[in-house]
Amino acid sequence: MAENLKALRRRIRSIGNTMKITRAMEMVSAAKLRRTQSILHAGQPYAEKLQELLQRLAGAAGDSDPLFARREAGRIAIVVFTGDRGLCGGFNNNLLQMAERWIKERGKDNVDVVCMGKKARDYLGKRGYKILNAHIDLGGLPEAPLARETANELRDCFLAEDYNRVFLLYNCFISQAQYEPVVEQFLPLSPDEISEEGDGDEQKKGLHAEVEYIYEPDQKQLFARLLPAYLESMMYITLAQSMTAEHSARMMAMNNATKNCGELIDSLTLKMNKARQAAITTEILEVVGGADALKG
Amino acid sequence: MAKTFKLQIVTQEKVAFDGDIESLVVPAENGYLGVLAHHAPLLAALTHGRVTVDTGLRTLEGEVNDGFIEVQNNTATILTSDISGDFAKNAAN
Repeated sequence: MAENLKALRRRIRSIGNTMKITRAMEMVSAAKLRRTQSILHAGQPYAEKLQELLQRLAGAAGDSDPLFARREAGRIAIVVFTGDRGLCGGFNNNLLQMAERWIKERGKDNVDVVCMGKKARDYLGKRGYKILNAHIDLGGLPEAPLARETANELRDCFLAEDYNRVFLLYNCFISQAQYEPVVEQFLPLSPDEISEEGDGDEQKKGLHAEVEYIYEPDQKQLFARLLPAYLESMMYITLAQSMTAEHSARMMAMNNATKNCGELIDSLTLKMNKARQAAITTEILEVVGGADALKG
Repeated sequence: MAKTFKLQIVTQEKVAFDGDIESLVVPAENGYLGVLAHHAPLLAALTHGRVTVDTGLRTLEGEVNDGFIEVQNNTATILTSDISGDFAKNAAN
């Protein structure tokens, strides 16, 4: 009995320690989530302005740029955004399973993968997918140079006709408690995507249309210069999205773990108290039994 | 006092400058380009060089590597992937 009590006490203590760790991790993730969220927010004006400029030029320049070129069949590249670390619920696994399904549907041999994050590299590398490039140790905060480098690399590959289509697979951050794996087409660009706009902008566009601009250099060249910047910005926002989702996923997972620890401690404490009481009862019975025996 | 116009410098990571200024010089593709209040609508690509902003009270300088400038309706917007110098520090300006 005493043995059992001791073991229970030890288990409660060890779970208590685990709880301290998960609670600390939850708080760290919450702080990182706030940071990435503000970065995501701060990156919006750039993306919006860029889109606005592209819309203005789209009419004049049309979709003649090679980045719009549609080539059927041929090789595909997909960028898979995961985290470097685990302990974040289904964040990495769900995405990687989706990646595997997606790639298999299009034929394993037709798809090259660019991995963002250690988890993607390890998982897909082990399963024999062709990895074009892997960026690891992302550091938990989105970095513009990395996004630029990746976007440019893919753009060059696309223009060299190494790949006919490029996709992004990432966890889209919806709210603090929600994220969803999505696939988006990165290249070729679709003209609709660039000219797509919200209802609120209609009036604004009407205003712009009347103004005669001075262009330097001409509209076509400007458009061609804006497109790479647009791709970079798209990559950067995607990276920021994925990281924000990662931190929110980890925060949730750790929150659950802390809660489970608490429940486990409660039930173990109850068990321990029952065991203690049983031990005391047995002891009393023994004493009473002994006293009775002496009397008799 | 000279006439002022609005300037916004937007980078990929943040809004580096937002305020009223008197004059602006940017490195456009075909040479440096000065902008004063009530400039005609303009859309230009930028190249590597120095951006100089005069707010009337002080002069701010920074360097860009690429980017675009748009001027319309007495508002100038500089879009660049990154800007160094005074603007890197004055993030909250």
